[in-house]
Amino acid sequence: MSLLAVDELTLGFGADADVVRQVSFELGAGESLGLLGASGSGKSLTALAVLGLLPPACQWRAGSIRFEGRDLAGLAPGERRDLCGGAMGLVFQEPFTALNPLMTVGAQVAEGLRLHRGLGAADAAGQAAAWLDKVGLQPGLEKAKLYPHQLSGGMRQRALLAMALACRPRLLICDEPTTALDATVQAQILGLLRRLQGELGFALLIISHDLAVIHALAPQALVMEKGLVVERGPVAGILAAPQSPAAARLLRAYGMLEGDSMSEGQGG
Amino acid sequence: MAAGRAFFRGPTLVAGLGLGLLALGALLAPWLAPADPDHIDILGRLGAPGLSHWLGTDALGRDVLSRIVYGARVSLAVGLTAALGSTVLGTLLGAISGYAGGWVDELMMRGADVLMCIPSLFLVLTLIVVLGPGIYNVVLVIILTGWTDIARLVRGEVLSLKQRDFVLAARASGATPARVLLRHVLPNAMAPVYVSLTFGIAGAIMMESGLSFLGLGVQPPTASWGSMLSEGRESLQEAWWLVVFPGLAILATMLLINQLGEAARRHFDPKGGL
Repeated sequence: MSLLAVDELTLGFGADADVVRQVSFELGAGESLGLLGASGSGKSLTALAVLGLLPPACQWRAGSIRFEGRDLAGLAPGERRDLCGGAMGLVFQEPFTALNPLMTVGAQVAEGLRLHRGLGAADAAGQAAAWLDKVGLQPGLEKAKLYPHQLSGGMRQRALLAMALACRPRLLICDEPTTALDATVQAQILGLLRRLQGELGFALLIISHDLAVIHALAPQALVMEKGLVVERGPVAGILAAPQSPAAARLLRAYGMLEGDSMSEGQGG
Repeated sequence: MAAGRAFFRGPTLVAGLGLGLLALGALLAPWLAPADPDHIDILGRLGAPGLSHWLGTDALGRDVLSRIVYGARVSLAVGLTAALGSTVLGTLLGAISGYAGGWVDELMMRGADVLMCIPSLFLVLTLIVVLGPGIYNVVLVIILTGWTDIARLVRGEVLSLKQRDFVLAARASGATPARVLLRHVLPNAMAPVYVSLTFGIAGAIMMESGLSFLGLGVQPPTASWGSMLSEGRESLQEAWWLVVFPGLAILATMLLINQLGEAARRHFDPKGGL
């Protein structure tokens, strides 16, 4: 049985056309899957649907999402919250806005531990510091006392990773985890993610418009465009010979495919 | 802390110290006041300011300075409790309204609209007449009529904050709606509330003085700055000190609080203007 099974998921806003159309994929425990697509292709909404965090205006029109065999649509809000943060973690695109500016990073990492593991304040703070150590914010005990504005982008992304992983989720969803970071920090974060996945064995759903990021973390990928899955297969195969125009366009934009990259007006 | 040092400097420091002294004076009134504020001395009535009575005596021969010192207790207590009460009420209602959205939001905001379109003095006077005069009713009425501005302010902040990533992140980590609201949304919405609170204190003190002036607030013989003005009005021709000194007390307090509020507004202004 797969850990996460998304089946014919269809989402839309109001009277508009569907923004996610019949998306299906499966992800086994400990596996990695990439979701490649340009902005507006519906990849982030798919991830939010898995977490149950769709914006109120977004309608769930068809399809199902099963996590460890349980249909997520049928869960009560309380059960849903137990899954979120406990069994699933999320890492955001923007490390600059994804941390509460008024709480120390230690307190933010500890919050999940207190919610899901029922730890007391002292235990949670101790474990939070250990997690900060683990993601490379050393020494964790000191870094835990810092506020987000005292950290650089890369350090914040590490703190977010510690937050998402603190309760040992079985699924980690990374939505453009490195887009806001510069190239060297990007490489460090990807390396860290790979190492932590090897260590902790969580399944990884990685969302990006950059196939290089996906290539660094996942062997398989889906390519989405306008809400549809237009291509799926091994990342190496997509890199070598993209079958869909959407994938080809993204690759060309990153200079990973021969051809005129910037002058084509059909992207976006 | 460093932030505290940066905040309290120049005129703001003066205002902070002045208000601190005023509060201390009100607290220590029984030891500071030169005489019993309610002690009547008919023979010494309408005495001019002098050595025995620094600020003179009123129509019943009571010491004006002592009454001002005791009156500070009423003014500050009413100002603080009423402003705090309406701020807390407004913050909670505004936060719930903004965070819940839907019909809850609609109901609360239309309720606030109704309250806001009635002139506040008229509303306060009507409520006081219904509830009866007295210091506790004054506080209650100021709270009941004063929460709407804050509620709107907080609602707006919450509406913009709840779209932010860190709020989504808190929800993604499985926090309950109440926890998300109280730990992640509200603390980040508080800056304009603090500013509004300081001006609210000034407004509440003015309101109490006004109501006491009209005889609807503090009841005699208790001294309040507003009731002293009202009583002094009758002997204004012979005894200017009965009106001037309580009036100065109100004026000075307003100036100090507004100075502090203005400083708070500048302090929390994201554009950082001076």
